[in-house]
Amino acid sequence: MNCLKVLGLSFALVLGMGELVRGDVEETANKRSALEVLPGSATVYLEVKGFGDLMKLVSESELSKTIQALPQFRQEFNTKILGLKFGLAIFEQAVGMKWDKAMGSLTAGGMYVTLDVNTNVVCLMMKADDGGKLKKIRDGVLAFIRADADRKGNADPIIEGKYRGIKTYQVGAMGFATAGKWLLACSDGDEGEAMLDRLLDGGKGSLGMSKRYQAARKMDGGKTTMWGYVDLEAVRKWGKAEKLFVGKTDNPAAEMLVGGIMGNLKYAKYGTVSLNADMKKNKLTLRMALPHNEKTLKEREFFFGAGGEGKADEALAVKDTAMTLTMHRDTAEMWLSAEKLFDERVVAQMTKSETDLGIFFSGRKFGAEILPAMKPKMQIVVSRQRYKGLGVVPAIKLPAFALIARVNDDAKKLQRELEVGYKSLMGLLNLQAGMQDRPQFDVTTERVAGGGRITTAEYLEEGEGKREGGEIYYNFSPTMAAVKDYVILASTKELGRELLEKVMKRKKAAVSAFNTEMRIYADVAAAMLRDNRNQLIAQNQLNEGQTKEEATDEIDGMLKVLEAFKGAAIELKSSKAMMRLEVSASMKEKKVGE
Amino acid sequence: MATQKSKVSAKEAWGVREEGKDWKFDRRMAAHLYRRAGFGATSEALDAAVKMGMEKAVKGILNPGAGEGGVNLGAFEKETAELGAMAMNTGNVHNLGAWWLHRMLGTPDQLQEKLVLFWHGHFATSAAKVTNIRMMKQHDELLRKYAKGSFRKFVQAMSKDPAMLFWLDSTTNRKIRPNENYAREVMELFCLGEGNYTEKDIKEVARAFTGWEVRRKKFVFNKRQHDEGEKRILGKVGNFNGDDAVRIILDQKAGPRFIAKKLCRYFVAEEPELGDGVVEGLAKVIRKHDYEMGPVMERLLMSRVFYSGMSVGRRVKSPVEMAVGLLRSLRGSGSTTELDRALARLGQGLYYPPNVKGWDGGRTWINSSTLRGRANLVGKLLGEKGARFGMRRNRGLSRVAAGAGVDGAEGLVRWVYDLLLAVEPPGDVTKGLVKLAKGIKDGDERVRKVVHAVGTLPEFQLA
Repeated sequence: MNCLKVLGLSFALVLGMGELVRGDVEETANKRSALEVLPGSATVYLEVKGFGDLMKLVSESELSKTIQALPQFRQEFNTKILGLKFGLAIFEQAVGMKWDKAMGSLTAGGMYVTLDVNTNVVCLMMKADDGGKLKKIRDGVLAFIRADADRKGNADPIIEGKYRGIKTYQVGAMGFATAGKWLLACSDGDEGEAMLDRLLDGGKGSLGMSKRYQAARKMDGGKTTMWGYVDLEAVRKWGKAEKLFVGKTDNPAAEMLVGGIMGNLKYAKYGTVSLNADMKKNKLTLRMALPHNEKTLKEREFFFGAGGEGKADEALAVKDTAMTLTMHRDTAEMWLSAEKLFDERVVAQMTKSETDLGIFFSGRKFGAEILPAMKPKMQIVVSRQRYKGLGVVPAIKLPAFALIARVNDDAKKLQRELEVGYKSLMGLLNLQAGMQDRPQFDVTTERVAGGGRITTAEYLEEGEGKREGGEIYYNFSPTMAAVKDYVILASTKELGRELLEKVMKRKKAAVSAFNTEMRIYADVAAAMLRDNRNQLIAQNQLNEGQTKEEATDEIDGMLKVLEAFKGAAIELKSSKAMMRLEVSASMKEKKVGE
Repeated sequence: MATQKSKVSAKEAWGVREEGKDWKFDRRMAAHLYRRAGFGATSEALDAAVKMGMEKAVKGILNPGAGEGGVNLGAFEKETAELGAMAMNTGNVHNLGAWWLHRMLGTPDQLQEKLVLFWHGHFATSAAKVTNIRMMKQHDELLRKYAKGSFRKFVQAMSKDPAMLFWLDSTTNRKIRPNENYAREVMELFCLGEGNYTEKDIKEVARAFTGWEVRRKKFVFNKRQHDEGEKRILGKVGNFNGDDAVRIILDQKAGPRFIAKKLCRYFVAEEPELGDGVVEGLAKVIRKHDYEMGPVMERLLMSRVFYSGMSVGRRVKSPVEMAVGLLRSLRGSGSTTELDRALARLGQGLYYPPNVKGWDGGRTWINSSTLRGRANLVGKLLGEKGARFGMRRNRGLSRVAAGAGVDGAEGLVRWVYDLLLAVEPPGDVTKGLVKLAKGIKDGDERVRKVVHAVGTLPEFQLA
């Protein structure tokens, strides 16, 4: 009956056992907030206010139902969760209600947890909707733990006591008490008593009184399902998770994407994290906020822009766009700050590439002359390919992708120089392809309205008519387009041309509200994977050693899960005072009639 | 384990082994047959082989799709052909290696895969140079087509194989400058062996191959570049072309002996190698069947010498034999992509033989580093995430053992020995293994630990 004991202890940990004997104490307790009671020494704090909503979203959403219907989930669930199901049944019998209802009732007024990383002290508070129910559940679990210990011939594992008239209980290292609708628990006896003191007397030394906590709450409070605060200075001093706080990535691509966040984690005194479940929109949003400081803004000016106010261009999108990423990034500044941002190895590679890249830019220095001529705006677009009018359709269908940059107004000559460099590169690739007995590119340039130019490299195709199942390289027809102050580098002619047309229609580049914004369109992403379904099944067979049937189940399941999403977004907002990163995922709503 | 006759004379070596007082086709002998003619067998397959007897078991291995009880090769071939096409689409030859391992693990025709592996080492062509996956796949298809067929036709086809010609720099072979590379290797490494031709023969054979070119990954005969003059090859005179040259080479007496020696080393014994007299016996069989490999393999796998002490445990398992054998015997599977990488680290990257001579084999597989690597690979195959035993939806090692009727710690150790060892370890090792098995309660963990321990024994390295 080991699992019974574990179950009993677990719920004892969650619930805590004890009671306030005086009615006025109960009344006082019910009026207190968790922030008046939890310790001010906490370095991590988490509050969950919509536990029921979160559970509902997790268990009743279309996504959840899709996952639950997958054969591999059912198999895992049936084998691994059997013990838990049994435990839950016993718990439900002991407390006389379903576990999810019991949890909903216990956390109706919220669940609050603190952790002090220096002492490892964990404190917990839960506010039930009804003091009577809380007592009923407590008594049921108490009786269950004692009966289980008795069956096994063990001594009573619960130590009862009293503190200022409040009955306390201890199971293992955890101490508990209940007062009115509140459950209090703490892994340290002294801190537990201090919590009871604050519950009875008021909030001296409480988390709510902490200036740092108050600043964090002010920075990014809001009503969310879960909200957390971290004292980053204390966590840094703690010495664990050092990599998170070094402020460097040593990877130029990662630096470009998340360097600003890493830089902030190095200096920020605190941070907040929140999770919100929006039932109406079927949307989960995870948000992280960090205050800016001068050091970060100076070191990462390329990332956040002057005074942290750098904004990205509004994203360009075409038909069948799977992903857009638009950023404010001053690449020239990043290149010049390389020694501060990267280690010697990366700096040496960048110095070498500066020389190597010169052959494509008439000997001009890439970092010192080419990049400074670009505006600090950058976009990436990924789209599904349609292979219209192509003689060879590749067997593996890769997405098309494009990089969009803008040149400074006084540097338009650069567009032609980039075109020459691009043609030189295609020539080099042609020589290489010739040596490897592969088809070569036919490079053509076309003038377009508005003074634009589009240069495309397309494979010369063998034979007549359409051929399916072509080589993977038929996914590429590298294209460079330039119009207005835009430079577009696309992996395919189709995408290059579509983006060019979009840019030509734009009267003026619109500025977005974000420093960085990424959007993923789940339907298109799923369609791209569906295009390669058979290939994915085969790869799964080889990579995982599964049978075809198993691999088919897994890939189809993955596609169904992806198709249950509407989309996802990552948004980074920055101002002089702070940065806020939001990651959200929207799920599809249930279709009418289903 | 039953004792087997340790020595067989050259005269009686290739006669059919018959059951009698001194020899029985038991589980150990059946395991030996499956290890050599394939990659090992499950406990159930061993029992079935013993029940049907040696001759029927060998015939079943030679023609698994034939007769009553024959397996459905078509379904397997269809699925793996699709998988092969998918692997090829990636353009990555390592995926082709993973695909081949997938075949080896699942095929009902083990001898076919074993022979393809043998011929891959014989006509060693590496993707390190032939980076085009389509050419390597075409080369692989050639190995498959002729693996059990006519070696004569095999060499003729191989001489026109784009991957082989590219590998040996014969993509352009012009009459003013004949390329001697292929001419040399076709005699030295593929058909005759050193000492059975002269430098002059190489030059003349090279002339015969002039005009044999590769264009756009296909073989073409460029008549303008073919040397139409008279050539003298191995004593024969005439206006020979490449096909003639191959015919003349294979007509040499040394040809069957050379192939017989390689077959003996690969399928019968590496150390000590069989004597010349014994090898000559198989060469006669090859001559009799004019290089048709099916009957030659039948004779080899039924022979007295094959089931003698001169053969059992006289080879070192190659990394592929070791890993695939372990998995097949335990109805196991796992990531063949990972396995392909691991095998390359142990010195046997599929489609990446080290040089034109192929893998040396034998003791060269083993050194302090690869021995540790082999033990680690066994552990990984048994324990890594995704490792599964029982084929359908990970049934677990204990169920595989239970399905084979394994009972108790002693029974478990015996079962593992039967499946994985050609040579029994000393008694104290067995006692230690039994003790180990008795000390572990969890069924899967017990089988895993015992198999892993056996996988680290020196005896496990022998086939």
